[in-house]
Amino acid sequence: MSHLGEHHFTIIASYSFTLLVLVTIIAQSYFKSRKIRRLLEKQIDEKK
Amino acid sequence: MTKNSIWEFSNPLKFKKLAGILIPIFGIIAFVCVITGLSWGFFYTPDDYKQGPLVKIIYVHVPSAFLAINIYLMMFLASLIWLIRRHHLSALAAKAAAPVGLAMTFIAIVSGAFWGKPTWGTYWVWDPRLTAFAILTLFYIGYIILWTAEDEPDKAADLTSILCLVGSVFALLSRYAVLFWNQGLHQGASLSLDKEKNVADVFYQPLLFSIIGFVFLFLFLLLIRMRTEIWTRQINAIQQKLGK
Repeated sequence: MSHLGEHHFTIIASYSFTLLVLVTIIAQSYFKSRKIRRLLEKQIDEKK
Repeated sequence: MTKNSIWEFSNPLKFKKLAGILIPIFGIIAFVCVITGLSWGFFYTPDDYKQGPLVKIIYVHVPSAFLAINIYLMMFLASLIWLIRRHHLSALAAKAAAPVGLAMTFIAIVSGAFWGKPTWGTYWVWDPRLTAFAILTLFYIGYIILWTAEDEPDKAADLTSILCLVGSVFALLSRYAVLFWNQGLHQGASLSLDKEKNVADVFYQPLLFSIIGFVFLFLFLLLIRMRTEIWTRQINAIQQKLGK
């Protein structure tokens, strides 16, 4: 990371925070979607 | 013969079918563009003559701030459609977009603070653009809380839509405050239709990739979350029928 000079912590922290938030929102959306889909399938089976 | 119209997709069945096709396509475009934009910007762009390597923060700060403002404007349009035409899908679109918009405001504020400390000497300053952005963040939070506070979905959609219309003033202020208030530390827009005002090409190209990636990531998440909202309403409808 020598090309980042004295500000390497600032730049890496910005990128890390961004990736962390993006991964969190993707994971939350995906897992919630999967959970609700399974619940719906279960409800449709029960209804039958 | 029936006339094709965009309103056809306000039918949840047609929407779910379309979303099933678009979600993987948008996901792939988002992944490729975000990875390309960020790694190009981080590893292969030169230092700025004034800011040195700190300019690399632009590749996360500008796309997230751009989306934070434009997602709110998209929510404004969706809320207006709900209030005028009563399409349930438009209310769900605004509801699904809000948490993604809030995530983008957090990224923009934190990366901006990291950028501000070494360049301005402070993490935060109450200049017009930043203040409008802080108020916009509060509107995002209020909007999300209001959806959870009201059980009746149509009433919740009405209340949140009105809140969204009020908050859109601050979304516009965040975007345009730099044009008519000269005081403040925040620089002017990095992107403009006027090529002269844009950042230099060497920074602009990876930035464009990054912005396109963030936009497709938003569309990818929006479709997933809207589909989840439709499924949730289906579950509620089944439970009501079964008398649970």
